[in-house]
Amino acid sequence: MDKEVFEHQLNINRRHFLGKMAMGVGGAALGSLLIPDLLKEPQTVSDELPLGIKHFASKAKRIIMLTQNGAPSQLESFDYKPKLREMFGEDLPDSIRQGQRLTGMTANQKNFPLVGSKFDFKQYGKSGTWVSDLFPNIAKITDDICVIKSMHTDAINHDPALTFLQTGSQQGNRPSMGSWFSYGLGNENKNLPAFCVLLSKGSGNGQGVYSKLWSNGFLDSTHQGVQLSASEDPILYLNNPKGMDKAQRKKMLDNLAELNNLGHAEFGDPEIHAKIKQYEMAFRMQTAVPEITDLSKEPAHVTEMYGSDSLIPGTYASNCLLARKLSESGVRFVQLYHQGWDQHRNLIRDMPKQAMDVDQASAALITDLKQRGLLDETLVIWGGEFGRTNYCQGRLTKNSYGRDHHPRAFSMFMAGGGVKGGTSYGKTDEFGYNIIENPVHIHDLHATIMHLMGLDHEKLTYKHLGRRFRLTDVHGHVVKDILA
Amino acid sequence: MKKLEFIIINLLFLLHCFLVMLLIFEKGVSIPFWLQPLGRMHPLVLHFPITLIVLLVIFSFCKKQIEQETYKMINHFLLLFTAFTTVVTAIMGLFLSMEGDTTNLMALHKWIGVAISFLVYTLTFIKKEKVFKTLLYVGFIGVIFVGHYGASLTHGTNFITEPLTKAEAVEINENTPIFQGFVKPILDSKCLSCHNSEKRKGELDMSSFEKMVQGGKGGNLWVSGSPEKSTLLKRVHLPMQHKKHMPPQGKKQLTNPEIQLINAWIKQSADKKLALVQLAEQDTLAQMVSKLLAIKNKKRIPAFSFNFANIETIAALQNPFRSVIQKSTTSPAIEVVINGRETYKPEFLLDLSAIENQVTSLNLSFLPIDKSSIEFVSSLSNLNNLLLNFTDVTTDDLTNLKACLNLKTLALSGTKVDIEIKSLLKQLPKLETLYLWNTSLSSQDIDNIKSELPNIHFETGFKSDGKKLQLTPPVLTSKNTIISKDDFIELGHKMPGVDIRYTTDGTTPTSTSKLFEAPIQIDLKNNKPIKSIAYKKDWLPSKLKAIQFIDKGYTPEQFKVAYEGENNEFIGLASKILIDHNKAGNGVASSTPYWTTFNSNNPLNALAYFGETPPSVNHIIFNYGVHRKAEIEPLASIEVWVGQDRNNLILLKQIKKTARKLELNKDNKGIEDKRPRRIKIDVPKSTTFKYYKIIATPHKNSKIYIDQLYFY
Repeated sequence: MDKEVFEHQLNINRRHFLGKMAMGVGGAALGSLLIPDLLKEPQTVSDELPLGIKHFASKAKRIIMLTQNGAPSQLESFDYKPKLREMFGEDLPDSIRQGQRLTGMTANQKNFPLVGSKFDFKQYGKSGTWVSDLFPNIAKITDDICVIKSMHTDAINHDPALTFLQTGSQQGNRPSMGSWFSYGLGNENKNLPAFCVLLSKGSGNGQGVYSKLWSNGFLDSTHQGVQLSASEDPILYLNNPKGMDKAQRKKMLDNLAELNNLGHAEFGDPEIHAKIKQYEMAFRMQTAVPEITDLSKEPAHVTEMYGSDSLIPGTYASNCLLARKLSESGVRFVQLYHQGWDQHRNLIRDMPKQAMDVDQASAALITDLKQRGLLDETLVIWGGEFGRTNYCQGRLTKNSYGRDHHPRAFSMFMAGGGVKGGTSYGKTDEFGYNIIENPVHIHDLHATIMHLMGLDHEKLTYKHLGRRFRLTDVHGHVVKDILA
Repeated sequence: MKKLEFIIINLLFLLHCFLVMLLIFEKGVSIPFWLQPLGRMHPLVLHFPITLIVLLVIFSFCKKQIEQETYKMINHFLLLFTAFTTVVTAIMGLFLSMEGDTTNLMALHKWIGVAISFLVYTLTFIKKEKVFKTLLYVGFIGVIFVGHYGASLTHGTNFITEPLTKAEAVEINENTPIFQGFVKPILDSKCLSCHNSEKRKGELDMSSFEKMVQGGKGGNLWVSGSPEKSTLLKRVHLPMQHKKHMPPQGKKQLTNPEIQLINAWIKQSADKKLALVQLAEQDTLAQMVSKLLAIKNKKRIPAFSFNFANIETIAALQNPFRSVIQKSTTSPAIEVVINGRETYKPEFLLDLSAIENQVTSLNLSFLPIDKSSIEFVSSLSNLNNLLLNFTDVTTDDLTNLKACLNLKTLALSGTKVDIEIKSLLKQLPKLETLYLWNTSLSSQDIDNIKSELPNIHFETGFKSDGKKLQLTPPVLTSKNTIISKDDFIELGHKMPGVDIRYTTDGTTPTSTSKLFEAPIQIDLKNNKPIKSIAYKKDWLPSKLKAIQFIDKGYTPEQFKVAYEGENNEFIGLASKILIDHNKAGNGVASSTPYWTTFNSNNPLNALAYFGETPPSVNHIIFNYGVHRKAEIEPLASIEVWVGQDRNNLILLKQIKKTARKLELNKDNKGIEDKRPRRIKIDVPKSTTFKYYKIIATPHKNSKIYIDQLYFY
C-alpha cells in the first residue's frame, strides 16, 4: 500500500500542478467577484459615517473663531497671579522652569526676573471669574464664557504654533479646522461659502498670517477658506460689470449653462457640471452677499455695541460685526485673525492698545448672538497660539517689561454652543508657569470643539496617501467638564 | 466513488483559495444581498463539522477494532467530508460576519474557525499517524472553543453565568449604604484586580468590607474619621513615580471626584451601613452622594419619539435657499433654515408640510413673514425652537402660534411685537426663553410680563446707554487722489444717515459748511485739500479728514521703458505703474506693488509718446523715494530728451546730483528725511514735442524708488 501511495505522490506532476492551479485561480476569481473595489481607486470619502450630518445631536451649529495672533499674555488677561507681583525682579526658580526649552530670544538671558501684571484684576459675574482691567467689556459677560486657563501646545514659535492651532499639525499641509467642518457638515446656507476668513491688524508687533492657515490641505478645494477683503466689497468680482443688469446676467448664465450642457453631453466630464453649479452659486451670491454686508438693516445702536471702529472696513470691530452677520446667515465657520499681540518689549505700552481693539467688539459679538437667540447654536472661541512667559524679556524696569513665548500654559475662552458659561477650567501654579490641574492640549481643544459640533473627532476622517487623517491626528480627548 | 473523491479534493482546494481571498481582501468585500441568506445559514450548517470532527476523534480510538483497509478508507472519506463541511461553514461564517460590526469576540471566533478549516484540510494530506492524531486533537479542542465563542456571539457573553449573577443588580437609592452603592464600585474597578481573594497582592484582599477591614501588609486600609492617616488615601496621594503609589503606574488611576468621595466617606465614619438618609443635607459627603445619585437615576429618555423622515423626502426639500438638516444620524429631529429675503417664496415654507412632524427648529429670520406663514408654522407640532428675528411679523400675526405647544424658545428680536404678546405667551406651556431685543417693549413692559410669567426667561440684550459716540471720518469712495479736472470725486460713510460737511478752501468745516450730496468736481489749481467731517444726530462729529488731490496732468498715449525695474526680488511693473495715477504711500514700503526700483546698472529709461497732436507740456515732475536705511542721496543724474522722432531725440535738460551723505535720525536707525524727493523739470513753452525720454540714473550701489511720473 505504501508503495502505491508513494507512486501516487510521484504522479503529482506538472499537469496536475497546473490543473490544480487553475482551480486555485478559479477560487480566487470567485472571491474577487465579491470585492467590487479590488482594482479601483481607493475610496476618497470617509466610509465610517455619512457626511453632511452630525454624528450625534448637539447644540452648536456654527463656529466663530477669534484668533488673537501673536499670543496675548495670559498673565495680563485671565490668569491672575498675585505672587508674581510680590516676587518682582526675583529670578524664576529652577524648580519651576525644570530646564524646559526657551526661545532663542531669551535662552541666553543671564537671569529670568519674574514680573507680575501691571494691570489690576477683579472678579466678575456670579462665577467670580478673574479678568484684568484691560478687558472691561469681556469682564461684563463672564457669566456667558468659559475660561480655560490650562491650555498648552507643542510649538514655541508663532508660525508652527498658529498652524498647529488651526490645523492640528505644525507643518502646514493639513486642512484647517474650518475646512474639516465644511467637509464634515457641509454648508447651512448654500449661497455662501462654508468657511470665511477675515483679517485685521492692531498697532502691536505683528506676526504673519498666511493663506496656508485656511487651506483645505488634502480635502477638496471647495472646503478652502474664503478670505473676505477689507475693502468696501468684502467679496471681490461679485458685482456685475458696468452696463449689465441682473436679468441680462441671468440670461447669459443660462445660455452658458446650455452650452456647457452640450459640452457635457459630448465629453461627459463631471467637472463641467461642477462649473455650471459654481456659476449658479456665484449668481445667487450676488443677492445674498449684499444682504449680509448691508449695514442699513442693522439698528443704529449696533454700532454703539461694537464701537465706532466697526464702521471702518478691515478693523477687528467691523470684522466681528461682519462675522456675526455671516454666521447668522449660515456660514459654518467664520475665522478671524487679529494681529499684533506679540509683546516681547514694552507690554505696558502696547498691550492696552491691542486690548482696546478687541475687547468691546469681542464682547459685543457674544452679546449680539445672545440677544438674537443664536448663542446656543454658535460657538465662539477666543485665544492665541500660545501664552507668554512669567519672566521679563530684556531689561525690567518699574514701567516697562516684555514677555517671551510660553507654550506650557495659556488661557483661551469659549462661549455659547453648548459650553458651560460662567466657569473657569484648569489651573496653573502660582507662578503661572506650569499647569497643575486639568491640562487641555490643542488636540483636546480640537476634540472638544468637534464634540460640541456633534462630530466624533475619531470618526471624521479622510483617506489620503494610504491612511485616514483626522483633525486630531491620533490624539485628543473631549474635555467633558466644560460641556453644558 | 473515485469521481466523487476527485470532485471533493478539487473543491476543497478551490474553496480554501476562495477563503484566503476573502480573508486578505476582507475590508473590500461586499456581500450581494442574494448571498446573504447563505451566510445566515452558518448557524445551521456548523453542526456538521462539529459532529464530524467529534466522530473522527471517536473513530481514531476505534482503530484497533477495525480492519486496517476499511479503517483507512472510511477515515479518508470521513475526513474529506469533514474538511468540505468545515470550509463551507467557515465561508458562510465569513459572509455572516460581514453583515455586522467586528468585535473582539467575533474576531476570535472567526480566526479559530478559519484555523480549524485549514487544519482539517491539512489532515487530508498527512500520512504519519502520530502527527495526524496530534493535529486532530488540537482541532477537537479548537472546536470546543470556537463553539463556545460562537454561542456567546448569538446568546451574549454572560449567557451561561447569567442566572447566577442576575440577583446582584439592585437599585441604588438614598437607603443604599454609601459603601455598597458608591465606594465599593470604585474600589472594585480600580483595586480588585490585584487585591482579590485569589491574588492578594501585599496580603490585601478587597473583595468584601470585612476583608478590607482586616487590611494587608501595609496595615489598616483606613482609620475611621481620619482620612489623612488612612493608608488607602496615603498611597493614592503618593507621587506617581513612587514605588508605593497605588494603583501602580500604568494602571487605571482614581479620579479626583472618586478620591474626594472616599475621603469624605472615611472622614464621616467609614461605616459599612451608613446611608444618605442618615446624613444632614449640608454634609459634604451627603452632597457628593446625592449628586451622584441624581446622575445615576437620570433615566435616558429619548428626546423625541416621532419617526424618522424619509431620506428622499429630506433630499427633495433641499434647495439653494432652504437647508433641511436632520439633527444627527440618531435623531429624527430636523432643523430648517430659509435664507434670503429677496429670493424668498412662500412655497419654501409650505413645502415643509412633508416633514411637519419632524421639524423641531425653524429659522425664518429676516424673511417677509405674514399671518398665513405663522398659521402654517403652527401646524409643525413638534417645533421647539422658532427664530423670527427681524421679520415683518406683528403681535396679531403671531396669535396662531398658540398651537405650538412644544415651543421652548422663541426669538422675536427686531420685530414689531408689543405688550399684547403676553396673551400668546400664557398659552405656550413649555416656553422657556423669549428673545425681545430691539423691540418696542420697554423694560416696564417686560417686568409686567415677567411678573405674570415667572418661568419664562426674557433676553432683552444690549440697551444703548445714551452716551454719544464719535463717528468715524468720511472716506473717499471714488478712491483716486490723482485726478484730472474733469473727474468727479465722491465722499462716503458706512453709517447710513450721516451728513458729510466739507470745504475746498483749506478751512476746517463746521456743521454749517457745504453738505456733500453728489459727486463734485474740484479746482485742481488752488492746490488746497478737501476737508470733511461727518455729522449725525445723537453722535459726536467725526475727526477731520483732509484729502489732497493731485492733478494728473497729461497722460501719454504710449509709454515704454527699457527696463521694468524691480519690486523686491520680482520684476517691477514700471511701464504700467508710473502712469497709472495711483499713488503709493509716503514711505518706501517694499511690499507694495506700486513702487518699482532702479539701480545704476539698470537706470530708469522711459519713453513717453503723446500722439500726433501733442499737448504743450510745461514741466515734468519726477518723484522718487529713498530707502530708510540708505546712506547717500541715491539719484546721480536725470536727463530729459525730446523730439518729434523717436530715433532722433535731443537732450533738453540734464540735472546732476552729488552723492551727499544722508542725515540719520535720533536713534541712528534710519534716515531723518524719509519723504519722497520731488524734482521739477521745466520745458520751454514754445514748442510741443511728440516724444519725451526720461533717463534717471542712481549712484553706484544705490536705489531709487519710483511710483509716478507727471507731465503738466
